[in-house]
Amino acid sequence: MNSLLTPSLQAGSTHRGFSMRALVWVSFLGGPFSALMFGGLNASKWRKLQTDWPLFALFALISALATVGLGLQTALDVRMTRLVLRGLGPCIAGLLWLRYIRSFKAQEYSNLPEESPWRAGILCVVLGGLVLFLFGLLGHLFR
Amino acid sequence: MNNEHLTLQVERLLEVGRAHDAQRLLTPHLQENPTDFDALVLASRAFHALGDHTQARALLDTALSQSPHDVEARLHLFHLQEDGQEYAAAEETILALLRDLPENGHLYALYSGLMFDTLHLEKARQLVNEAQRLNPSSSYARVLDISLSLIEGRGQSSTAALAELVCENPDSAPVLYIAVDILLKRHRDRQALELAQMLVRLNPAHKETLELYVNLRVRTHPLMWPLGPMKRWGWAASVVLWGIMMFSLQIARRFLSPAAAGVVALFFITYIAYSWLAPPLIRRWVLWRGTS
Repeated sequence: MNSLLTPSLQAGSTHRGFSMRALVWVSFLGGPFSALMFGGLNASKWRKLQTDWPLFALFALISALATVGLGLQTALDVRMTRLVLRGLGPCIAGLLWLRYIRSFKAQEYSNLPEESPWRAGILCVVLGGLVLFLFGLLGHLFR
Repeated sequence: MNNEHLTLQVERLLEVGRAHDAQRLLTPHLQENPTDFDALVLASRAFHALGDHTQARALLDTALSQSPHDVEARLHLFHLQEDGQEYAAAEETILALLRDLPENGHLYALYSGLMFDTLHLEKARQLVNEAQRLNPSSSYARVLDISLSLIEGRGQSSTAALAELVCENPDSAPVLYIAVDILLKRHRDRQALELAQMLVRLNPAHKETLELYVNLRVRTHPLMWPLGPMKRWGWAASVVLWGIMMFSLQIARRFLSPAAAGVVALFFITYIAYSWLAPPLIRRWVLWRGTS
């Protein structure tokens, strides 16, 4: 009972995450690393990043291996590689949705102010795209 | 306040949402008795209802300086802080109230609502359980319980509980609003429309209720049927539609003919154009039918 009556909020510490729609757009446009960056921002807003960072690290490792691996493949054409990497972003977004389904649903009911996703979204698309390019280049160099 | 009749009248006016009238009654009284505690709290509630947060807070601060331990005034302070998104301060206020009244189920429900709003779902669940243990008939606690059950994925039990709650409170606008909201999130548009009709009957001059009713009439219009997947799954349906479109175009181009691919493309373009144009046109039609 005492734990129930322990304060949980600190001034300025309460944030609403970005919507699933924004996450899908970012993951579709930027690929897997953008999805992880944007999803990580959401997780930190929901105070879940401290416990869930291994999950993000695992997804990042899988994405890196997939990107480098695809770069190493000579059998695949550029178009197919792009398609697979573009598909990986929404897949990660879907997995993050499954992990945070409660938080996504809860914030639909919440009165917390909504933050515009544009700035964070564009930043994540650019940075995630850059990371994707660098890993792809790495795979290409070792081909 | 010396005049009990005035207090009752103002409280009744505030209950039915006539804050302007309440304020008009209170103004001359407060000019004569500027330190009347009850009048200050009621005036603060009236300003809060009218959306003047600053004035409401100033009046409440004056009242609380006279009687800092008054429960009603502190509860109103909690609501003001919550609406003003001063969540940490609101938590401090409700915890102080709970320390003074540890067996009050409604306070637990209010604290649970605050935790729900700030996305502390586990704590909100524990608090609402405690609220229901202390006060099983609390409508607010039951509404929170239903909302939390929906988020936790226990849709069946929440629908039954919601039906029971609405049956018990058919004239309670807040319960109906929450029920409409929950039904909308469960994509039960027809049932939501029926409740919205009840809300319009309860409060026909309320603009937001009318807006909600019109939106639901649009959503349930037969011409919106082709857009069912978009209404139901939103962004996910858009993604799937995009995937199907790309796949169908590739199939038509490779295995049929460029002309067949053109027909497929035309079909999808028509559907997308319909999804953009139909809702505003149906809305105009509904409004025209409603006003003619």
